[in-house]
Amino acid sequence: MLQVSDLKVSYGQSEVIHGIALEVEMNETVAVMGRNGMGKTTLFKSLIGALSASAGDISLDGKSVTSMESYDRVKHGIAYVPQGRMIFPTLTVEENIRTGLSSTGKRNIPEDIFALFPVLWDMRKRKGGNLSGGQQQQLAIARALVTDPKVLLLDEPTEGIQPSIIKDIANVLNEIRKLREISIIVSEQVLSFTMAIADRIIVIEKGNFIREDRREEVDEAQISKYLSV
Amino acid sequence: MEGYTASELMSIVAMQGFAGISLFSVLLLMALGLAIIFGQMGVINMAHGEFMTIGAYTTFLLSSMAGEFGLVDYYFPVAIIVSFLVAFGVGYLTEWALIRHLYARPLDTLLATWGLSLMLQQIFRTVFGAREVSPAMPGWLQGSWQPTDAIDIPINGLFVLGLTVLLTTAVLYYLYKSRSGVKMRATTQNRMMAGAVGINTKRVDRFTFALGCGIAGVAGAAFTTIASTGPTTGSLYIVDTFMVVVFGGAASLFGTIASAFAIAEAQSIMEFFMSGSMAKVLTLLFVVGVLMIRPEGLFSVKVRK
Ligand SMILES: Nc1ncnc2c1ncn2[C@@H]1O[C@H](COP(=O)(O)OP(=O)(O)OP(=O)(O)O)[C@@H](O)[C@H]1O
Ligand SMILES: [Mg+2]
Repeated sequence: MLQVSDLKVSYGQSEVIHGIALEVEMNETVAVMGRNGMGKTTLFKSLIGALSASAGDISLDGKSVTSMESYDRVKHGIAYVPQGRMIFPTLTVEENIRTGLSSTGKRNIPEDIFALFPVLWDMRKRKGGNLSGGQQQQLAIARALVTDPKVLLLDEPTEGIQPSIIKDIANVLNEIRKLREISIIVSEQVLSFTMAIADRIIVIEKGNFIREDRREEVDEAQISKYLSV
Repeated sequence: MEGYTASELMSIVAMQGFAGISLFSVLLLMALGLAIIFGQMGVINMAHGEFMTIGAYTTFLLSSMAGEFGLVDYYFPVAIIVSFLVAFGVGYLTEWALIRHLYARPLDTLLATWGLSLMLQQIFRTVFGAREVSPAMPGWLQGSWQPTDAIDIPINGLFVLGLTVLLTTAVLYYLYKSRSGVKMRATTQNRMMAGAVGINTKRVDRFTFALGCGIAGVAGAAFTTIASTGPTTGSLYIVDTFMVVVFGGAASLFGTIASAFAIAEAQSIMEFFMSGSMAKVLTLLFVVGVLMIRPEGLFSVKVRK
């Protein structure tokens, strides 16, 4: 589904991602785990095209998207839920979701979105900026889902969210996998969350992938060591 | 203000108030375009006044053509639409040729659009001459309406007000109810994120810039009903327009409306009692005073960030 090869990303002169390779199968969920500042957000931004790669290739279904702008990548099937959610604060909940429809040409928000996130239906007329952090996270996921993605990128979806809501988000993601043909790449620091959703867990350190385990084979104590300071 | 009876004062305020409505209309249309462009792209369009002049000259050209065919009574509605289209088209080209290369460089856009405004003024001077021109007014726009003996309301002011209300409503409807309006507001709020949810932000930018210029073109058509047009007409209005936008709060269109009304009416009513420049100074002082208390302008949208 998604192939990334030898991806390098820099801010000016300083290279932050040093030649990463990644392959994600259809219907697979991959977690990229690492401490603060290890390059997770940089990697995700370059996958969606908010940062351009200085070398390497990103392909979706065999088609290279490396030189495409963000909106075009979305059209080809990549969707992005950024760290810190970045919903549009003065747009209503409904309008926020609608922004994701522009790439599909659909007029109406599919009903299954509100089935997944009932709270968004109740709040659809409110301004996005007035929702709680957990609600904003659901909104950001809903906004990404209406683009009909083949690959969904989630950058630290549990950041700043209380444990009970973290469980809800894990359930929703598993639900989405059942309902759609979708691959998910999620960056995280919370191991219990990724153990609940991921098929594979990759550890990123200083812009390199240094370890990779299938979930069944994960040694939680060892991965935790990479995540603690 | 001594020497006026209460009822005389009332009539003066009412009359000057209605006279101020023309100014309000032109300022509002100008500010609307400027605010949309600034809010969306952070571009301060110094040439915005010249887009108004483009509309005014377009109206003049059409009126000359209409004069030859004896259609003076009918051309004006057409002129409004054509003024919009011409200014929209020139704006579209400007964004493509100039502005898009300068995003994220506010100082450069300021200089570039200022240069553009000088160039356009020179083109106006070469094509239309330095003398001011006035399109022929259709009969139905002339004269005035007298609800009472003391009050005299010019028809052209009412017409321009109607036009402004219509256009402002259309713009608000477009922004807040249409699908492309949602795209525009999303791009305004977070350009990176708008792209990442599938919005072609460059196309939205070009359209927004052109739309703002088109509205200035309509302001130009409206302007011809209250004064004559010269090469520098637009630059005379640009300062007042900036004042309206800043005073109203750049992010709030409702603020822009309130602020255009307050500034136009204050100037118009005060002009009756003192010189025009004194009225301007007082208005400016008042605006500065308000901005010191509320730096974000009269209105600002309140949400959690
Ligand atoms: N705009 C920028 N300019 C320069 N350097 C940057 C920029 N953004 C991030 N960096 C650097 O790139 C490195 C990786 O940052 P990144 O945000 O990708 O980390 P992260 O893994 O997402 O961290 P966190 O868990 O805190 O979100 C850091 O060293 C950071 O300082
Ligand atoms: Mg990050």
